[in-house]
Amino acid sequence: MNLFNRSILPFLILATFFGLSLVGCLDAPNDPGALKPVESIRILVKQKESPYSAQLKVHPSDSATLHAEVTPEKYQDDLKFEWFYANEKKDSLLTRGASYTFYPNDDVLPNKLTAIDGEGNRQTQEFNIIVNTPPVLSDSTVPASGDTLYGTSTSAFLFSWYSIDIDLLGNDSLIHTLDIDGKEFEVGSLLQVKQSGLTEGEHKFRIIVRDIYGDADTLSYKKFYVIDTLEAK
Amino acid sequence: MKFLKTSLLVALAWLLQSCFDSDEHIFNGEETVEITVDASLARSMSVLIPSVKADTFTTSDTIFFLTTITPNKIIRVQDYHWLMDGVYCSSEYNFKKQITEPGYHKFTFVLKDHFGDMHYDSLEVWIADPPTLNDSAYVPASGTQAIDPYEAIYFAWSATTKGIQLKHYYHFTLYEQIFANSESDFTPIDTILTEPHYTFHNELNSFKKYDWTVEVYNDYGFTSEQKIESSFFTKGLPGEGSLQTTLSTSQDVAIPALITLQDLSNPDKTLKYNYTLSRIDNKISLGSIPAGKYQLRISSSLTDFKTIEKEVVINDGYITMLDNITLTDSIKPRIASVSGLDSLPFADSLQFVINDAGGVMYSQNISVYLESDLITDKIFKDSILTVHLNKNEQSWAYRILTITATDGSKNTETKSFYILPTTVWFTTNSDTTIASDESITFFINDHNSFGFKVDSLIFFNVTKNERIVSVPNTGTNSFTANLEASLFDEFQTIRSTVLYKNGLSQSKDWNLSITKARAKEDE
Repeated sequence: MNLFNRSILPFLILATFFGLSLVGCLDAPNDPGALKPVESIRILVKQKESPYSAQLKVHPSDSATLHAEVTPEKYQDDLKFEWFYANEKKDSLLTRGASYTFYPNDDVLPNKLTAIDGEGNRQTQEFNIIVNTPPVLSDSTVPASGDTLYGTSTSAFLFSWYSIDIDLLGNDSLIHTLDIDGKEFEVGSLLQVKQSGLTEGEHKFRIIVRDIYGDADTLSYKKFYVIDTLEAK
Repeated sequence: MKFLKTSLLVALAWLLQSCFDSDEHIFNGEETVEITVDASLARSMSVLIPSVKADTFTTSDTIFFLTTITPNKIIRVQDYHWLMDGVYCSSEYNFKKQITEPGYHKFTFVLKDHFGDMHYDSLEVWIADPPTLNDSAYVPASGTQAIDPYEAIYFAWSATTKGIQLKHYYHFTLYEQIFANSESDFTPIDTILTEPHYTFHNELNSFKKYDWTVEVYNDYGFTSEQKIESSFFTKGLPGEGSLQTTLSTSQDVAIPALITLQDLSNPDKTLKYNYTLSRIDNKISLGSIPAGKYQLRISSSLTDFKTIEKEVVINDGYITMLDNITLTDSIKPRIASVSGLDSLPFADSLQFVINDAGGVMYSQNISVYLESDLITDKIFKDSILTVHLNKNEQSWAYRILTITATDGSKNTETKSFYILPTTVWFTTNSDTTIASDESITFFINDHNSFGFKVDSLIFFNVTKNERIVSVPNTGTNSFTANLEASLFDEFQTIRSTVLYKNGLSQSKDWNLSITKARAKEDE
């Protein structure tokens, strides 16, 4: 049989093979500029009317909503999301979707997000929700509002206060600022100090307490009076 | 047609072959050169400063990033560049950069060689500024008084490192002030803290000054420029205060000092304190003093030091701090010859009295010059300075001996004495004793070898400060006169003087003693 004498089919087969070989040899890369991959997926949280925040800190008394934010935004709908609670033993799927609303007092809090694209590629992020209660200052202080202190500008006057934070049993700690006449003294975790430098007359002070997550409480200014006992003599 | 088919097959084979570089497909290891890249960083381009793989820098530092390529930098490469935290940073082999973002940064040098092989080397950089210690707002404020020594004391301060959350470490010290007149049983605190506050729970001592300091450094090892150096005072029993001061003296060596506090409401009540004060150990605390007004008197048994007096108030619970007080001796040493005269006859040993009531005088603080010549042959002991002169220092002219003495308070006294001429060109009487019924022949015979013309010849009674004989314009070189003893007192010093026409003069003192005639007969 002589195919070459009867048909151009062999020629076409050879030409096709030749064309495919050339394509393989060229191995031209794709234009990188043509690719627009997802740049990032951020996990945000909000409570009540507050805006979404990247600081995954929530107050225990209100429900909170997690949201997976895709950048660029146009790919937001191209991805699917799964929220998990993961521990050493297994991953428990909590819900699917870009957002997930939960109660911070729940025993199970989400800590893992999986994003899935249209081709089934998966990307996983682990995160930690901080359930934090703001510190609270007691209104009872020394000196109390309206107190009169006797001494001199070099006398050491006692300032004391009390603050509480139910998270202190965890990793939280409190930092206090003593504000006397607008001058702030960082006093750390101390609940009382003795300070001098107060001349005769009216003064004011207040206490500000912050926890390590930035939640704070501030007492309003309290007035007190200093009478210079040496001047009086 | 057959030709066409053959041509197609040849062309196909040729094209397929062109896809493979058959000349290069066999690897020959002998032709390869191993390429290595080595990245490093340094603080300058100086060869003296070693380059390293990791270091800490401040935001104001310039960092030099360096690359070494083996075998060299002229090999054929496709690309090379630097990445900072994974982002393109530079396309130079070596470059310098100032990094303003505090924190950890990883720099990677990437080289793609001619064959497409990738070569990497990485560096680690930590950036932060030194921490800033707030040295104006801390607790307790500097100078705080009346701290209860039996209660806890709370110290608090603050420090930050700009632009980054870094852990800070605090070097805290607490010392009790050491006084010249008391000992301390306080155990100083010197510790490193991780929190910006410290509570001292142990007992302190009453009416003491405590100095405390804080320095801070951050996790990157940078130390703050600021330092807290503060102090506070403790109180004592109710109704009592104290007084502290620094007593200086104008002298290098220790001196005795007496401090008295006289109660102005009860002058009979006086508190006395005796100290030995030196230049370095001079902080004193008077301990517990009943509150009240006092007259403070500070003096020294060394009377050249001026006594200081002032009124002070001692307040209940407080320490009265007096400014530095200096006991000052501004009185110069006193220099005199043992005879009390400023004109002295030449002698092998001349003695002088040097007194100073401001402390001990030392020989090394006394210098003696005969004109411009330093005399080292001298002894100073028990306030007596003995100066030894050589025979060859005698002269026919007056010579000036200058003594300079400096006391411990740097007060200097300089005094000059005249040394009378000892070489004279004339002969005259020597010390003579005659009876009251005898006479004496006064004589002067000049025999100067210089040919100086004599103008006058004079005999002068130094003791009575009166002229005896004066022979002006004599024209001769000699003179004699016979004088009876009755003209003289029992004892006198006579000065024979030759005055030359050229203005020069020479004198010689001699003593004339008159004894009673009867006493002579008895002999």
